[in-house]
Amino acid sequence: MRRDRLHALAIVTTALLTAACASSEEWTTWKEHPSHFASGEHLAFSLRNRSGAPARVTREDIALARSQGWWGKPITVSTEQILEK
Amino acid sequence: MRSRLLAGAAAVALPLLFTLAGGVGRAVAAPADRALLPLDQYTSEKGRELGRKYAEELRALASGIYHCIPWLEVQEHSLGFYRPKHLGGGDSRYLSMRVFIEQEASPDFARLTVANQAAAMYARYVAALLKRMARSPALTADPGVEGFTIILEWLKQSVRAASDRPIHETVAVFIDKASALDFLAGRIAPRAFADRADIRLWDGETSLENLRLTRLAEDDFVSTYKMKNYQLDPSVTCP
Repeated sequence: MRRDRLHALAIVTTALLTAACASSEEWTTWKEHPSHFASGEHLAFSLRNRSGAPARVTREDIALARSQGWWGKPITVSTEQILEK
Repeated sequence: MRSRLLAGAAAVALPLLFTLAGGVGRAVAAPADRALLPLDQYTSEKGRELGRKYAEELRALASGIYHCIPWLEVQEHSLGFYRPKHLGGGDSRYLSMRVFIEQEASPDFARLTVANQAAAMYARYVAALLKRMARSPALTADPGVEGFTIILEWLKQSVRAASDRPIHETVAVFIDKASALDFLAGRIAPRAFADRADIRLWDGETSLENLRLTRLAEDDFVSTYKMKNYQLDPSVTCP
């Protein structure tokens, strides 16, 4: 009985330590590789003209693409729940 | 996987959209006009007066973010002198802004807990945006402006059916003016600033517990990242 309890405790402890380490590692990954979270590239990259040179994307192009409602109406907290006008 | 597929689809479709749209893109309304809270929507004369008095500063703020941080979208009518609901009575007006962050689908980011994702976004954007919001000496010296609210939201990375609506995760940061100015002047450290701030978190429409930042990553992404192929309007200078 005592051995079973110790065994269970060891399993729980190991699981907790593993979870903690994983969380720490994930955080470190984020800190060390911020470019992994590069933003907006999918709005601009791979656009090429006929000569093969990278095409330039203006801010208006990006705004237009967003205005098409590409992602649909999101589920999110309303501003009215946070702020009053 | 869904996010990756959507990002991949966007990578294919958006350039096509740009090409097909041609000059139509020039017809998109001026960003500052859409970002500002219209004066007739303020519910108190104090708020309306601040909105009227600092309209040019707010337009400059919206325009600067629009051109210089193009992956951010200041939400329509979100920029103005709002009153944070949780402050209760009185008419405390905070310069407020709600921003959607466009970012790549990323397995590394998705693996973080929601709280750590929020902390990462906080570290990346709050100081950078606060600095821009507090750029006007007249505005920051105005006793009617009592603080700042920065609301950040981004697309939740999760597996969902094509018919499902996208879900946003949202973090709202409220900071009184004195603490904000102390932080920007270097009189208090980021840790003390975070401790003084009221930071709230939502997953979709669900409020999560108030966020206590246990880690604070240093992040200079906003000042160093250059979006590939992005052509800055020649009339604009970014700091």
